[in-house]
Amino acid sequence: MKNRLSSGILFVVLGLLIGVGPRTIFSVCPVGNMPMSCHWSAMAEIGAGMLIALTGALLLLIQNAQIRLGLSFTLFLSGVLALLLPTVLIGMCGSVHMDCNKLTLPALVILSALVIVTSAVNIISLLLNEKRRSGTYVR
Amino acid sequence: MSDKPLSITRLSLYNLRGKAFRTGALIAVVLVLAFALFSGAVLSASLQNGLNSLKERLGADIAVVPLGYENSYQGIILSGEPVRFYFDRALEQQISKVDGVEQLTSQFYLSTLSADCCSVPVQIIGIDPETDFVTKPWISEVYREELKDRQAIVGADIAAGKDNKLTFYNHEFSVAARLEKTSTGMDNSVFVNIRAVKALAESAKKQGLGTNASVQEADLENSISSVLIKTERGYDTDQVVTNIRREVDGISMVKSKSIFSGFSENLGIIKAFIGIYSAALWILALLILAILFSAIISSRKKEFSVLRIMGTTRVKLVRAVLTEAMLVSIVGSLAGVSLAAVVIFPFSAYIGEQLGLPFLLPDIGGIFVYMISTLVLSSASGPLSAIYAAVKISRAETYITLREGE
Repeated sequence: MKNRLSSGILFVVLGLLIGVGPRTIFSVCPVGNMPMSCHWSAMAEIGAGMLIALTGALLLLIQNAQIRLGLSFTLFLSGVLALLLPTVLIGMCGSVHMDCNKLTLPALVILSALVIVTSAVNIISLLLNEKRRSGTYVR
Repeated sequence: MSDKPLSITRLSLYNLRGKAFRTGALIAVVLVLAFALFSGAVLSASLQNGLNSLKERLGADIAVVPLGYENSYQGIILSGEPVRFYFDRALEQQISKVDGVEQLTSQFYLSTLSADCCSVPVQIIGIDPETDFVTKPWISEVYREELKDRQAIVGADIAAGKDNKLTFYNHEFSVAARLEKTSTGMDNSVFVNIRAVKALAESAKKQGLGTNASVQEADLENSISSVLIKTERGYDTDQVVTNIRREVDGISMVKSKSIFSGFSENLGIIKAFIGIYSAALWILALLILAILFSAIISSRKKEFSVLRIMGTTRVKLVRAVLTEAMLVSIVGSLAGVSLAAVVIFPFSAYIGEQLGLPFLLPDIGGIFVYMISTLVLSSASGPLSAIYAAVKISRAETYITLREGE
């Protein structure tokens, strides 16, 4: 119960930070005459972030271990997507001195990595629990 | 149920796992200590590296610029902040005849928006390959041939476009080489042949592209932006400055040692503060952990008495307590160092900019040394704090301790 609550809340918070952060706390460059790559990365991260947050909320509510295992895999892949969007798929501005490269990109990389690592730990934990429940460890 | 023998380490792990909140609190204290020690050491070293880099790259002893443009020149050196200012090239000849001037070279500055960059202006610096002594040592580390008219050497932070080319005012330049990171204005500058940059400025002027009054009004062919001077051995820089002022009017001068000494003083204060703060934090952490361990061991007197009755020797009891303290410290140290690394390294560019000082991260070897030192100091804090309480409980009379409070 405790693990379900803590992991669910963590994913909701991380998802909200990934989705909303590039527009608020660690915002990308302001839109001038032409929107730059960082603007489109931020837009895409809204989607990825909300997906992570909503999946985290489902993780909080659902007790069935199999479903939670599936949700954890979804979170892992969503974390990978959130990481790839600003680095490979869309990218940020060319100059390293722009705010998007100094602040937004490192923040998104760290948050996405946290989602990936936490969901991986969740997957392993759920699989181990499943093995214990099925009696594999009883001698 | 596991049938492994109950060793000191396993006993300590069970004790720590059994009281998760208490263990978490102890780890948190060590985590904060390790975070502060590691981040302080890396910040201090980065500022020192930045300052050393600045000192090496100042090159010239004196820079002569148009009257009132001293701050603009410092902006180029420190951050590569794009500027354009010009004065008559004839002044270079006048200055070369002044007593105490050993060597001099002129530079021409132009700023532009790179076609491949978002919206950050780029500083183009035109150098005279025949007389340059300031940037040549650094350029020759990466490129030894003569810089042709359509070639550029770029600073570490300049983003080159496709096919490794840059376009300025509709003129294409190929990137011949890239300089190493210096944390000075060189990182944001593009170095080209002075003939090429003047032609570029003239072309931009004719097209009316992105140039300001200083470019529009200047006779670009006979203009330069600065004269960089190396003073003769045996001459004081201030004396040479005075000599130049006597001979030449309408100029300002910037001494390299002035730029450097200002930062050096600031850095000295910051390093002293970081050192005192780190030492004070380590002592405070030791005191807090000592109090916590004393309270924890006090609350577990009956547990230790039972262990003694079961045959645990006094030495083993001390080892059990110190092992718990060591495990807590190791976990806290690793977590603190990891957290500091996650905060400092990805955000180093932002931190450097906010500090407003030259900032250059140490190399991998240096970072590794700081990491190991932090881990050792932080890991030692737990056992050092717990040793007094551990020895005290091991010497207590077992029966009296067990029946205490009855």
